[in-house]
Amino acid sequence: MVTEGALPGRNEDRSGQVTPVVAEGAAYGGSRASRPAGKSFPVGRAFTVPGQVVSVLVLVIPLAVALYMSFTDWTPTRGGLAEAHFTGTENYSELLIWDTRFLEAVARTLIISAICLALEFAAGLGLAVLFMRRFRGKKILFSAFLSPMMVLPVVVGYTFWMLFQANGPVNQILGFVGLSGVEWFKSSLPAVSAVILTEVWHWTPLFFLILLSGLNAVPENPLRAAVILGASPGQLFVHVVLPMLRPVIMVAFVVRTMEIIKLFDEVFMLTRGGPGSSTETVSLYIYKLAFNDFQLAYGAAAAFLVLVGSLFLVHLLLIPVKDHIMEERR
Amino acid sequence: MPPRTLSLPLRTALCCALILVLFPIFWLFMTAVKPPTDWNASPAIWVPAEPTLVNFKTLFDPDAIREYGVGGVSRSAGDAVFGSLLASTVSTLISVGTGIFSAIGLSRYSKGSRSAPLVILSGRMFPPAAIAVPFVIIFSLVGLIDTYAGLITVYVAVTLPFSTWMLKSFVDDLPREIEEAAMLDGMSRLKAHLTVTIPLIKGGLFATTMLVFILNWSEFMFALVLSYSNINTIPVQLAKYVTATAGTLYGVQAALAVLAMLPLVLGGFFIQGHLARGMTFGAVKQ
Amino acid sequence: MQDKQAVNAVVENYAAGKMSRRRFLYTMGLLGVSGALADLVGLSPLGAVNVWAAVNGAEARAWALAKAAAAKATKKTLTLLIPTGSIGNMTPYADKWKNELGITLEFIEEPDEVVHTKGMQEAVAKTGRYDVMMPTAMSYPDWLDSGLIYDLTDWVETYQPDIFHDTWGVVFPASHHAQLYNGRVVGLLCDGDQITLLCRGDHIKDAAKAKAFEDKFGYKLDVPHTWKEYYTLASFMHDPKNNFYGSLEYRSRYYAKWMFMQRLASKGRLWFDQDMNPTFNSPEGLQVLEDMLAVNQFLHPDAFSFTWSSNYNAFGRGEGFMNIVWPSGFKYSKAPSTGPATTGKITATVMPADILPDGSRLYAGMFCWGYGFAVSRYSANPELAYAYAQWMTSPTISADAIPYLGGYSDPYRINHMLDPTERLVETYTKDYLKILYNNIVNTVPDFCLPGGFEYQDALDKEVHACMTGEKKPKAALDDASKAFERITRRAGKDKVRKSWFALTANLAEPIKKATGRASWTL
Repeated sequence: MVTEGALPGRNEDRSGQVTPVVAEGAAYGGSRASRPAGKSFPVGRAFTVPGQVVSVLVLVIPLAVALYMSFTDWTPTRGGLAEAHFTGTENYSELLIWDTRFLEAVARTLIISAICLALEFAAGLGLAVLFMRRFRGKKILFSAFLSPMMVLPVVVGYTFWMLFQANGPVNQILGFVGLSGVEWFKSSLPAVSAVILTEVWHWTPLFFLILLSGLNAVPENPLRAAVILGASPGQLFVHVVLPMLRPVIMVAFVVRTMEIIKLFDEVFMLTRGGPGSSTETVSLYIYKLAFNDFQLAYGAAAAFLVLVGSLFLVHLLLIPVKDHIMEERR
Repeated sequence: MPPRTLSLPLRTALCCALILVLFPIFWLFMTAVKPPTDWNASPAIWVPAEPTLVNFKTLFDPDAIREYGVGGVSRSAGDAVFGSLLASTVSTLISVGTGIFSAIGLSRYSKGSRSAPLVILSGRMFPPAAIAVPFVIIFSLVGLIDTYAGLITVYVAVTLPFSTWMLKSFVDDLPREIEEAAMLDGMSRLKAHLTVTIPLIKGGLFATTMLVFILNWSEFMFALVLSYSNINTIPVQLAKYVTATAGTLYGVQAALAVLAMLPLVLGGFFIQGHLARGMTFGAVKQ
Repeated sequence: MQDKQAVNAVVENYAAGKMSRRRFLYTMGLLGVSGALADLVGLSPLGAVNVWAAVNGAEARAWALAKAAAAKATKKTLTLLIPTGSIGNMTPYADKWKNELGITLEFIEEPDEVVHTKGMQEAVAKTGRYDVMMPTAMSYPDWLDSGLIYDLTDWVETYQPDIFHDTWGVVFPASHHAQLYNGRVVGLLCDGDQITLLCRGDHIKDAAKAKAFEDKFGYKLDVPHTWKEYYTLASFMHDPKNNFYGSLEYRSRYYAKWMFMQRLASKGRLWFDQDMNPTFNSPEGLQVLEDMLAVNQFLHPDAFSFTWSSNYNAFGRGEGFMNIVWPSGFKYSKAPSTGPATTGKITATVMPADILPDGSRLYAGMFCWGYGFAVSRYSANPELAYAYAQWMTSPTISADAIPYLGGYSDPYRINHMLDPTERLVETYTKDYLKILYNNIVNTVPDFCLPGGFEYQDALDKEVHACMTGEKKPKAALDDASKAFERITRRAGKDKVRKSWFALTANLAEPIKKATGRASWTL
């Protein structure tokens, strides 16, 4: 059962005799037991109606407009949307075949995202494991470690811009410990690192939060059993705890992936996409297309490609969970 | 495994992590209390010799900063604070309120289709820059541009999928037998869910609310696009602290940023127990 | 004994701009008009015009139009879309408009880079929210083509803002490349943004340094007159141990391209040739990149992340010998609060020249960024909006508006630079105003073309990549060329070519000759 407690930390009064079962597809969809019988059906279905109405009105319609736009050559300099020429998949083919800047931005975004997610996960997990222990001031420290998430993305961007200035605190600290200052914005590796550091700082708290709650919920019995069987702490963690956390981890990854693909505010404030375009994320490129170049139709097509790509990525992320469920069923 | 207190290496690690995490925030706070003369000092000043609250004052009294020879702030940030509070709170309530019912509906009353979550999430994954213009087109037809109603509508639109999906996983976590027990006792479906289901996923509800609120509170692009002069939010206002006489007003921006953190930090502090508890996404059952 | 007729004649002459204020005051004195009275009349051009009712003045005509438009206006507000930070030049007149015309000025401020986008949005949404819009000249082509703003030519012909006047008009060629699109007036310039070179005069006057310099290089230590001298000075003055760098030239994204374009123009090259082929993929373009790379070692360490704000601040803190700035940067370095280390120590000069193949020197400048007033097609009050634009940019009001702090306006009319009011002199100094004039006559325009924003970004990206060592100069220019060709193809080559032809029709003669523009045919 879901229990409540005041402090994050291991729950002391668990009765722990029940073997843990990973809820089927909790993260992926579908619920366990069979559907109840007939007459309650319409009432139940009605629950989703408000959400569907809202979705259709305020999400589906604009998306449909954007989709239509992507099949035209519309830019306001050519008149209104209604008069725009229907050009079929021309925008899409141009993006995928000729627009190297777009493809590079996509690749770049994926790589930066992967690195950020890996680092956020590692740091978040490390912190979560640390917080499973008992020590004083945990409540305050918990809030402290969550605070980076509470800072507005634009603010994070320009704060780190200030930190990475040539005579800013980061270089001052490096000088303190005997290293030479880095010219953070002068070449691509430092610039990309700066972006990654900024992003990791900003969102590690989310991984920390989610993983901590997952760790809290890991029941003791399997762990005790494994210890009795002679498992070392390392083996315990890798072969018992982590697999149980898998759905939690996947959800954290999905949530973060959705956001990081749209990475914009921090990068814009830090580097505007430079040096050259070595930190130009796909979101920055689409912003430029839509907001500076007025290439609205082209930008819409690029956005749909990003959407399809993201959906595919998320689908991939959720597959391991699905497989796990299938195993359990057997 | 019984919990242990921290060994020295772990304590050191924790300290280091704490410093890394808090340093930029410390910097932000320091910048917020720096007088204009310190903003651009090189090498950068860590702690101002003469901290001042003038930056905070300037947020609500644009002329306050003139005593330092800096002019050009033309409006108070009051409407931005109000706007952020209004837009974020209302849109979060609507998003989570609608989302919980959709979540229950999807979890209990429909066959879980594999593609459902993906379809649900696509609203969240669409780059905002590209969908801003369709919103502009539609809103201009129905007169929602430059209105809080319009902004709230957009925020609900982009967070509803997210809250539905998150809440659904909490509901999935709960065995349906609990509700069925209540219904067997004669409770109506609706009542059962309201009095049984929802309280039991309180942790997840809080967590979702907090995350959705953070997303709405931090949102910049739609607010920028949809605001003319009648609406304003904090992220948009932040971008407007540039003057011809002193360039970017780092201190004033930092002051507003610090203010903007308050609701989030306070909220997080109060619900932190529920946060950690609630977000297991059905990972583990007992 | 005053000769009334003679005084009237003198006043008419003064009001007609046929004499400078100095001459006016002198003549008035000769005619026996008391010093105080003459001063009162001549002190503020506002006062002079009003008192002596020079009805033919651009200001008066605009005011008359404003009065008529305000009277029949149902909406008693005039809404202006302006970039944040620019409001200081406009608020001083809000009361006058309120009290005398009953019109409330409403300013909607947006971050600088967002103004262009807001315009595009308005083209789509057609809300009619804005009456006057204040973009840079680079926005005009796309805005006009989107049907967002009015072609002002007819109004200009009717109400005569005197923008092409030979005594107090907007300085040529800025009058053309900052206000016209395809030969039609689409905006009234209100901000003379050209880049000029500032030097630390105290270092030049330093006797020890002067001697060391002359001994080493064989000519007198002075401001640089050519780009070669610029390089020499940067290397000589570079003193990183004391946090003093040769130059604070920009190497950041968005600004780097202007450094490239400036030097390219000095070499006698425009951005495209008559067939819309990019011209920078040439020996001259390569040389420019090499020159810029060579100077990198003498630049401020923050050069790669400078914004105008941080660049001005660094110079004001005294961290460099030379800086390439807009006139606002001069104001910045002059004021003790923002230029603690530079106040009173600045020697400015026009942008350095380059040596052409035939051995002659070519002086070229860049007119980039400057704001102007456009009238929204969806405004409920277009005539009132136009009247505001003409009034604010009229020779007399603009001379009054520019010196106000807290705004971006810089001098742009002949009278601002060659016959300035006292306040203008206080703000910019006589010498600098002269330099502004000498530089502006040689300016070339930014990418004020359809798709201008795309072009400048494509070039900037490659130049920046080259500066950071990511790409070799040749590769950068090749890639930029390819990108340019694609942009031209998508925008429509004929359309862009026509506009490019019109844009480059107005340049200083030496530049026309050096770039071959004089012999182009459409």
